[in-house]
Amino acid sequence: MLKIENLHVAVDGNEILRGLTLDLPTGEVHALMGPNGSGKSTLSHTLAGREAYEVTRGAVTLDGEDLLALDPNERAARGLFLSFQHPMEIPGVATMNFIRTALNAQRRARGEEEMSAADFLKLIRTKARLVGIADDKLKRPFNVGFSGGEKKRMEMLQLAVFEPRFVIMDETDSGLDIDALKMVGDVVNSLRRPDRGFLIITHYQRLLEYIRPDKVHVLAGGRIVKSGGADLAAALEKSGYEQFIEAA
Amino acid sequence: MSTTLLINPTAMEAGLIAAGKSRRLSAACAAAFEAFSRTGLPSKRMEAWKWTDLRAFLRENLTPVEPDNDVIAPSIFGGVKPFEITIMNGRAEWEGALPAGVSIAAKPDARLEGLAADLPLANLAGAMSEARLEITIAPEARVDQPILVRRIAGPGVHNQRLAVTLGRRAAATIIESFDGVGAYFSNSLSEISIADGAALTRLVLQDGADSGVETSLAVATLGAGAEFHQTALLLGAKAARLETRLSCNGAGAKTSLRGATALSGARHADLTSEARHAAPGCTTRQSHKSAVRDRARAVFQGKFLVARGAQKTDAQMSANALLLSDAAEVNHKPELEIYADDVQCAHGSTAGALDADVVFYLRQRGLDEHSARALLVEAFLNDAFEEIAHPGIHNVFHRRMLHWLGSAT
Repeated sequence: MLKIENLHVAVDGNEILRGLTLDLPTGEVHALMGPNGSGKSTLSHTLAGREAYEVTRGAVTLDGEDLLALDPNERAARGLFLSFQHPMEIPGVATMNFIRTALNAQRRARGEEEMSAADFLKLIRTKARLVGIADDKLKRPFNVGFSGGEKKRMEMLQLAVFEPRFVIMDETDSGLDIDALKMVGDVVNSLRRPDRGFLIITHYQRLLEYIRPDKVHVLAGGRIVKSGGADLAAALEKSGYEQFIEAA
Repeated sequence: MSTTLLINPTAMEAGLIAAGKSRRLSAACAAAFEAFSRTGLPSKRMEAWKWTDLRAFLRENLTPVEPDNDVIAPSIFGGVKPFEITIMNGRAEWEGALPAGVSIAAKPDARLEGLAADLPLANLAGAMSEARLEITIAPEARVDQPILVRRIAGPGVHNQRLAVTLGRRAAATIIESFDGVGAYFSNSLSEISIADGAALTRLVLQDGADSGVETSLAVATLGAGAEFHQTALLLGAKAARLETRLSCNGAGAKTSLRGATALSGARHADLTSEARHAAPGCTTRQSHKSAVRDRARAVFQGKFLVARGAQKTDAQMSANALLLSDAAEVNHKPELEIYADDVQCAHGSTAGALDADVVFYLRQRGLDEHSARALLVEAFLNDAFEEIAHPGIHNVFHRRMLHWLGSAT
């Protein structure tokens, strides 16, 4: 369970999150929706441990452990995965080498044995097929010259390889065409398990047509203003966020 | 090059001049000594030395200490089985069978010619070197075994001259390494001549001591269709300068100047080059990467000269630097001087820090901060060595760079 209690976060002295409380039980998929500037990306970066995001009050625990006390890489090793809205390019580092280096860093931090080159090759080829990435892309520098859609596929590839305990997807659907949206939906659905949680941050309802969430929350003005079932997303699509912006 | 007149000699300059006066100099050496005495060491008042004030780095005279010849560690190039020449405190030694087509001699009293006669450090080397070590590759000889010229400096002042001459259509690989212990000033001059159709690969590893000062000047002339390919790794010293001056005198000559500077602590390294295109259809590719941390300082000065009539010159230069701390410093000076109208010449220069967004991305994937930064610096420097075709030598450069990366400060 990822448990967020009364979280206050400031960026450059401006308070963005103002008392956000959210329980994200293992085994469930929750969607977080909200208007621009409501604090969605602030939440994802704070959970992942970005330095510039200052937690002024509140607590976050992952299965009872204080998440905020951990470095970003320690959070990753504990199984927290953030799919970035804008994935980075890493010139000079082959995709395959990068993902293997990251996987083995996580395994070492957990006291597990590193994965051999041969086992890794088998694993990544299987997962690459799942997300629709051609083998030759794996040898190219990570994300360099890739389209927005390809970069999101690379995020999904890492998700499938790392098999994290808790997944935050920060507007993964932005800039995706229908085929890529369906791919993201397929990957998430194939990874839904009783011991894994998902927080899907999105502006629109359309990704939720492929991934049916257990719960939907509305973030406005830095706190949760409404929670409901999967139907809430469809209702929002009709009514828009204006009512919440005024309320916040 | 414009030089300045020596007015108030430093203790080092006075020492160098006294040492020259106490020697019996041949006519050639006396001419060089005379020229050096007029200018003294280069200082920041000379445009070409404005960021490497050698005079200031070398104020005090250095006392020579007799070397203990027994303690020379094996070269890190040992694994590639080169033909090895060791120049210890300016004195060259070699043994074993020479590769076919190679001859080596030590010649005293070699006169400085051409460009070198205008340069203060060339004059110093010309006046004070014990002899000129001459490596000659016979025409048509293709020498596979790399030739290692290993310069080791102990405390004191050392001057050494090297001449490398390739006959027509010869090919060879020369590795030049520079290292030392204690407080020293090691000054090297390499005079290189590459005849028509010949190809020289020059690989330089500069790895000085914290209190050492190393200067190396290579002056090379290329004939028609000749090739010169240099890759250098500079790890700096109290001050280090690797200067390469190329003259493409024959049509269709090809040169490349690649390399990296990797500095820590308070080290200083200067890579300076000039490629003069004097004949039509010559090609030059230059790219240099610098990664600088702590309070270290990297200097890059690259100049392309295209003479009138050197039409169809194709010359590209890029210099990129990564500043890894607030106090690190990089000085770049790319220059083009073009007197022909049908040429393609370009230069680009960048300097910046590691992208914090990318570092965070890597940390989110599980890499700790040190590993994330090291991975990015390695990726940045890596392609500096991609032109080294010999896998064993490439490996030595790569490993030395990784060793620098791993030595966190």
